[in-house]
Amino acid sequence: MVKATEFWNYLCEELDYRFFAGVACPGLVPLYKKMNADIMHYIPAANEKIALGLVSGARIAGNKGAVLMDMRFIYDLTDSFKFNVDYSIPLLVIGYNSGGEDEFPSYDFPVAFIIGESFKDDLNRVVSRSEDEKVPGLIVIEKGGLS
Amino acid sequence: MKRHNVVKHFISFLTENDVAIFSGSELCKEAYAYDRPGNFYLEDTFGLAVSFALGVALCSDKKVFVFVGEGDLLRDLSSAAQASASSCKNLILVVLDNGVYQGVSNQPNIFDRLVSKRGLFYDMGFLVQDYTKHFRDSKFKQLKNIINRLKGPVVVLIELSAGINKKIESLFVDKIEAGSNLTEFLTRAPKDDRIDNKKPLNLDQGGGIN
Repeated sequence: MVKATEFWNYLCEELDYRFFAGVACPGLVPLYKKMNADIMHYIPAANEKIALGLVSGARIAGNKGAVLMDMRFIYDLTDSFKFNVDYSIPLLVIGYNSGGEDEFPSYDFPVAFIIGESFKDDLNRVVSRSEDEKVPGLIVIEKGGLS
Repeated sequence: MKRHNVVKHFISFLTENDVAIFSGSELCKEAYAYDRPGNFYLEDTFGLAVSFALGVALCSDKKVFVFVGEGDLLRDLSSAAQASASSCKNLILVVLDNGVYQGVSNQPNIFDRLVSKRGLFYDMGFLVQDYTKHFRDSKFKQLKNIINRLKGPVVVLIELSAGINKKIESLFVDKIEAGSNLTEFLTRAPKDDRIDNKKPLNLDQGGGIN
């Protein structure tokens, strides 16, 4: 189980992700509770597509960021990811997955399933490939994976 | 006035620090004829133009103009609501309203059937400016002064005559290069020393976590 405070500290301070937008998801409550305005900025978005637009715009302006969402709605972003690929705008999607791996489509993007203490290695791997290939990277929080 | 003429004049009103984001293939082609640093073209709109522009505006002190057709905006009105809720002072949403989908044989859309176009945006919390008459009467000097003083979040409404300039050539933009050019434009040292281009992220806007 990953501690939310540790997750944010590593993502924001070590990996320099500072701009977040997303749609409320019950599975991500531990992350919301431990958000720290001193090291990050979060914008509640009307929908996942808007969150992706916000984070992409922030990235073009020089700020790394991530979309927070329920993975059930990842299908809504399939077209929008093409925008990120076309314009080479990397970002992270931090999604909560209440089901199995088959619950959402497979993309040719880096994916990590966060379930335990090795989350830093998983984050490093996804961030590194996302930045190198300038594509979205998916960080999937599994059920019960956060505290 | 037709859209390509409005676009031509509007671009001439922008300062060299302004960002202009255009959404939709025909609109992008028309704007590209007057290309300038700070222009960014979203040919395949993906319905992201307004939220993308808002993300840019929230992280920059440059004024960000986002040009969308009314049909394009209707597909994702919640992005306009998001822009208004942000209270972002450097975002200007320019709605170019010709009442039809020009790229699709002028098929009508529902924008003209709305009881109040202004009211739609006003009730979201925008300041709404209608410059239709200014453009129709060619009051360009006056328009330039007004536009340079605009503070967002504001919606600029301009009603247009339908019609595409068929002489305008296709758009050939390397999207990857366009993205890095915009990043460079946004992060370069400002011409105006009074402007700090890198806005800190402890933003007092956008409905943040504070």
